[in-house]
Amino acid sequence: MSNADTSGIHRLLDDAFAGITSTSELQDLKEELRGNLTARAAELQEKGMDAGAAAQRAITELGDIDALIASFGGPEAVEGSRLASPDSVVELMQRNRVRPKPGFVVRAVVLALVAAAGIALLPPALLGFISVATPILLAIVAAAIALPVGVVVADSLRQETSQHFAAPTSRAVGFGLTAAAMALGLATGAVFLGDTSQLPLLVAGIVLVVAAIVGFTWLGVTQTNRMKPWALAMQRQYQEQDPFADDPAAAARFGMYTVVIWVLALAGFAVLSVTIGFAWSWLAIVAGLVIFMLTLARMVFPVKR
Amino acid sequence: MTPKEAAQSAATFASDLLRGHTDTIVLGVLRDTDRYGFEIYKTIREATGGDHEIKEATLYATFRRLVKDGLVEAYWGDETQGGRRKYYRITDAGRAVYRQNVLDWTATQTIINTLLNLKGTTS
Repeated sequence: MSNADTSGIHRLLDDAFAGITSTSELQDLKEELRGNLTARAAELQEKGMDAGAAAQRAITELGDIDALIASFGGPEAVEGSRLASPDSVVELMQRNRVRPKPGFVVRAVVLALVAAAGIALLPPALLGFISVATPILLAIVAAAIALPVGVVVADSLRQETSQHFAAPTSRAVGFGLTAAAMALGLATGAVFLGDTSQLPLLVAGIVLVVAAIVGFTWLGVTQTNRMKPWALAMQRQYQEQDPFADDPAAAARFGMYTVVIWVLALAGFAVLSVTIGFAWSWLAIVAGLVIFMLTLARMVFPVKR
Repeated sequence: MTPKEAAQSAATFASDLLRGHTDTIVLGVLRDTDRYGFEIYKTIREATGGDHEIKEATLYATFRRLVKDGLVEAYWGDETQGGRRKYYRITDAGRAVYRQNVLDWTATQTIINTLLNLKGTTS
């Protein structure tokens, strides 16, 4: 299919997009259409159609290309402004509210208590205040720390929230196992510190922690969006409102102001502490904070002229 | 109504009904593997026995909507010959929406089947 003649498609596409103000989105659509039409034309040519006819047929089969191009012009802007009013944001949040399931909350609290008890048990056992044989301590660590941690992590990811969909079971289990491995690895390392003659414990701990780091990396890299459409739209809107996002110079200026304000405030604090004393020198820090907040307010919400 | 007209109206009915589920159908096609536009269209066309119930041109609006809603991610393939292909990958959000929509459809289907059989049960 690589030797298929695709010049007909390029010409027909250029015709269809002729005289249209090109946006990056339309450019994208044109390239996407090119790839897809080429694939279809190549398929037709394999069946014995000649290049010109195949290109023509591919375009015809696509349907109304002018309407498609027109539809990529308008509605985006309208949809973007739909969220603008604060009322609709509040309404959106209420409409999309998902209450946590009582069962999940109870499970999480109970397991967190178990894990807390397990962690609280470690220092006295390791320092010898409670005498526990190392194998038994390891079993306790696995059952009371690693297991609850893993279960809580997986369980939380399986919950649908107001802003996120539930993660697929396999991914939630993956995160749970990885978190459990990390907890077990760290706890095993701690047990080794209490009984340094058991070198295999150190090795096992390191292997588990490294495996968990690899696992988290893999899970992080393969993670796809889990946010609900309304939350994504809100996020986009906030990004548009952020004055620092599209003005790096303002962000840099703000950074420098921050440094100057706090250096002066700390210097003032030091000088006043030496000259007048601690009774009044803290006012320099308060003054610094006030100036910092005012600067922040002026830069994030500029006065409209 | 002639048989031809009847077939025509049945086809219109089916395509109207189908159009409402285009998003879910596309998500379903992407469940197992990433695909590019024409491949998605071809998969749907082949599954319906070659009848073009969903127009290829309308799929592009679907792709755009799905990407905007975060249900699908788009990325360009690395084809060197001919046009580069824009591939689509389903996200975790997309999987959740797909599952929910299938559940909703199954429930609706059951209700409609029951309602359509109302007369049959009384006679």
